[in-house]
Amino acid sequence: MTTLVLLAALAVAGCGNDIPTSPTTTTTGAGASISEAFAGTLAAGGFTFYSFTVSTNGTVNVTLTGVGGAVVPSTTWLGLGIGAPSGEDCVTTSAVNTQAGSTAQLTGTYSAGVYCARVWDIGNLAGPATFTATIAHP
Amino acid sequence: MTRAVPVTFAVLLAVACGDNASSPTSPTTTTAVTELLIGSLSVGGSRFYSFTLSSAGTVSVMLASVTSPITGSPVAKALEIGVGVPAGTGCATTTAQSAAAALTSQMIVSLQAGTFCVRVADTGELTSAVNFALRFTHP
Repeated sequence: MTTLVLLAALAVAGCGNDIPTSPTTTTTGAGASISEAFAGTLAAGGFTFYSFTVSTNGTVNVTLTGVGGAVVPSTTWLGLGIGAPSGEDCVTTSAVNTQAGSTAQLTGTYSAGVYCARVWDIGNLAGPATFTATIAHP
Repeated sequence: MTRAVPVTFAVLLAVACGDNASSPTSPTTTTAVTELLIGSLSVGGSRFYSFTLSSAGTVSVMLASVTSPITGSPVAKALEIGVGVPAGTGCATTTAQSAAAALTSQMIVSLQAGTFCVRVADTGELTSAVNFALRFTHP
């Protein structure tokens, strides 16, 4: 009788419902869950950048939300890019010339790693410009 | 029979020391890269330099010189040197220490593949700007 009980228990253990293991790969990419503020002052002819870490494959949105300054109209166009920190700069792999707005001017899918957002004068600044931007990423 | 021993030994020697038919395994050595961060450091200031490791390895950092921008003479001031990850508008160091200029590695750090940075900063000792040269080597 004991043997039968043990055999039955083993059979149940061997053929029971397995709890599925969660997949470890992200196939669709994570949405932006972290928002970082990037603000500063840009000199005429200058650039500045902000580094951030993407924790998992997903979408990165960069939005230049404001531009201003004593001699800088809010409609001034600046360069905006996403890339990788390298040396004392940020080497962009995706970039646009844009005015400030509320909609992301740069969007892309990136794997886990360290990236940077770069803002620079494209030749329009007559003086220092203040700017605000947001970087949303997984 | 007396010749059997040397003949057998010779055969064994040939087997042990003969050419292997299989190709030798390629060594997996990684060429080290040496980079320089040279510039001026203001009072209370910091500078950083980002680099990428394609494979895990050791990073060695050497603060090679700290000099006066006016006279070019060595300045006996320690600076903070560190290794970390680019974050925000700076370099978030995970390893840092105070070091005086010397022609030897003051910091050796083991890192995985990825993007990192070296940082040099005023520890609070500077009373005027200095020029510096930071040399670092990585895989």
